[in-house]
Amino acid sequence: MSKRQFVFITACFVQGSFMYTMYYYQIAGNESWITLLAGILFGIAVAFMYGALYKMHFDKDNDSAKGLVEINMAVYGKSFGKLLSLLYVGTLLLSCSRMLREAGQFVAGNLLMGINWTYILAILVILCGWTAFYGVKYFASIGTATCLFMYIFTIVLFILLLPHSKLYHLLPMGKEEIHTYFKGISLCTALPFSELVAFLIIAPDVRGENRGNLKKELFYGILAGSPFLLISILRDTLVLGPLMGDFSYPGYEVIRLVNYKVFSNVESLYGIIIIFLMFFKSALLFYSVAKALVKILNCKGSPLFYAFVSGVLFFVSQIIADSNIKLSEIVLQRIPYILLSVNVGLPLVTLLMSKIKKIKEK
Amino acid sequence: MSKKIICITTVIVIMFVSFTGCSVKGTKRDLSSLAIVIGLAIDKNEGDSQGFETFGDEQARILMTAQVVRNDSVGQQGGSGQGADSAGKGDVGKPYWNVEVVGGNLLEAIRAATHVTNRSLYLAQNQVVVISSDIAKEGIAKYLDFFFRDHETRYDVSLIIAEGNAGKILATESHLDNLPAQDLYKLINSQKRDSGTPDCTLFSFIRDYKTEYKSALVPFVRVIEPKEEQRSPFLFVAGSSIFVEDKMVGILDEKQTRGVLWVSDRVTDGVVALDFDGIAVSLEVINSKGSFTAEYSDGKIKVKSKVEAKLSLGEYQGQGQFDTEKVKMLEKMCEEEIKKEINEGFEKIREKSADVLGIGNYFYRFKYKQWQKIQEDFLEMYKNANMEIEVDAQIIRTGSLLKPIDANSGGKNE
Repeated sequence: MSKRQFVFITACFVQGSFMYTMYYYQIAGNESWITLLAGILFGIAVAFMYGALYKMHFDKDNDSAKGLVEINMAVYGKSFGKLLSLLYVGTLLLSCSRMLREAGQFVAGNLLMGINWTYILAILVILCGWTAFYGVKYFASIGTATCLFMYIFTIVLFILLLPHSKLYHLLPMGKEEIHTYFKGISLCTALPFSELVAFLIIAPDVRGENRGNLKKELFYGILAGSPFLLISILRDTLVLGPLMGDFSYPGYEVIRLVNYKVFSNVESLYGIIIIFLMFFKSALLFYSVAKALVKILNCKGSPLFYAFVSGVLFFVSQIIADSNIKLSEIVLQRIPYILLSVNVGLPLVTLLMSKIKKIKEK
Repeated sequence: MSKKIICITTVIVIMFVSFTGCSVKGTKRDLSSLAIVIGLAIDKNEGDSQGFETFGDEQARILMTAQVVRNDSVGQQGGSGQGADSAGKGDVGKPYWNVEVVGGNLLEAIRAATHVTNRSLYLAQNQVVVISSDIAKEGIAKYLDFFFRDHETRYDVSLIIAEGNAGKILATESHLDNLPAQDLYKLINSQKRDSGTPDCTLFSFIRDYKTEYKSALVPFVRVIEPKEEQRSPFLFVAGSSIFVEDKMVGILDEKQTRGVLWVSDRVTDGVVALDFDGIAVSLEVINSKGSFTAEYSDGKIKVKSKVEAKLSLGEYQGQGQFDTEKVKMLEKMCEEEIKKEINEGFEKIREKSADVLGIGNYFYRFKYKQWQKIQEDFLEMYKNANMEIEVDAQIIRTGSLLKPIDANSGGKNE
């Protein structure tokens, strides 16, 4: 994929985290947009860190790039590097399975009632595996159109929901305790920005001039994708107000209020588009997991291998939580800390160790 | 390129076909397998359970009336009758059927309807939810949980409180429409022409309910039974029921309701009738803007409300010249009339401790630090709150006439 495509798949990756907003509301309520803004700033810092780590291990002379697994192996040694890489694989697998689980439950609860959600999950997992096997490059080529289309659709819906909006729902500001803001910002940084570590695995697929430096691309990708989350949160806050934390999928429920001339009952169409976005992100995560495992296990990415990974993903998606309430508890209480430790803390340590190594070599 | 297109297209097609239920057995439903509900009424069950087995407390049983459209009879004339219930013979020829079901809660009642209907109730086209005043006095939020939890129901459905029995509202035949529920829905929507009744949907009610210190006004409907036998009963929508939390605590008449709506910036249309020195004058509201601010000082809450109304002279049953001086006098009278409506409305809601305007919410949103100090004593202070009213009424049009039609008396020109 080209650098421009990389920017837009990063943007679509961030947009695909739209469902996470329901967790933001549980913590920060009507001030979720503030915690998201702070999360975006921290996310940009995290993305710069990933970019710096990637650039540091890019061989300019041979124009050869190292993915995250190779970087870990170079810094920590072969065995320990692979072991640490398994941690990343674990978190990315967790993220992917959680996304697919939520997508499956969303479809079963709102679009296809009466169908066991595991069948929907199976379809999504198979599609993810199939897409990843053929390479994410096909989706990279539609990333631009997807990103732009989502903005157009979201802005149109925002305008249609203006009659239901009340500006005062954004107030009051600053009423929460400091630890609430801290928790909210941690959540917003962890989900989705810490998941951008997946791009360290697929970054070697980028072609073009100066492909070793992807800091700008990651930055532009976050800038292109984050307003989508911000618009969604503002829309939900202005319309739902005190009801924000009550719904399972507030971003979807708010669309059910759209009722203007021919624009009514658009939530099914919106649901499909959201599912596509979530699938887009899940496929990227699946691809990064599969690619990392290929490097760790030193094997070929055969169809059987992808089928095996699909099976593991399907299994993890089923056992991750018993119900959506349990899943919500896990996401709010445990996931951010796991993701921040592994996806942000570890790369930071790796970056520092790489710098120390380089200084020593000099 | 073609491989790329095939890949992407296949993924999208699989997702669209799978997830829209077009082909999946058990998810697609034919129209003939659905009992389309266009109106729902909830009453307390005071009779026996009519054969329905319910669980839980007998006292908590509800009687749900669902007005189901007969697909094959919609285009035909509605049957005559005085609103027979589902047990009556007059029901069969009508374009609708009021299915009455007893249940411990709404979902149980809806599922129990399968004991009497040969298809499942489909609520996505429901337009009105009518709740009896008896239930409203005890609290309605628990009954609304179903509407927000279910995937089929919609939130922009009109919520109405009925005087007495809610099922009777859905059984009252309409003079203009085949379906009483549809007639009621249109009746509620047409109230915007008068602004004597607020509009209220399930969503707006629950949003107000969940907003701390904000009460809701819900339209109020009653059945009028004319004394003359040859005239059929009809629905009458006017005024509103006052809610504190989710319990009905009182009723506002049309003038009082409009008084509250002036300040809430919800008057879109209407007529202000004046007695101008024995001359009946009607001013039509073209546009209005209302707002308020609240202050707290010395243990008292002071509300300052401002209403700007643009009006048109709709009717002038008098003689003589109609000049700018008269216009100014009418504007002044109109301002006094609007102030009177606002005062009466505010007095009534204050008396019921119903913060319909959202004064507490105003402090919470805009003056949070002050709110933290007064929060605990707010309701007491609210009962003694003062309101300063500023009204600016402008008559910007006189209709198609410059002079009153009654200006020439006995053929003489004035």
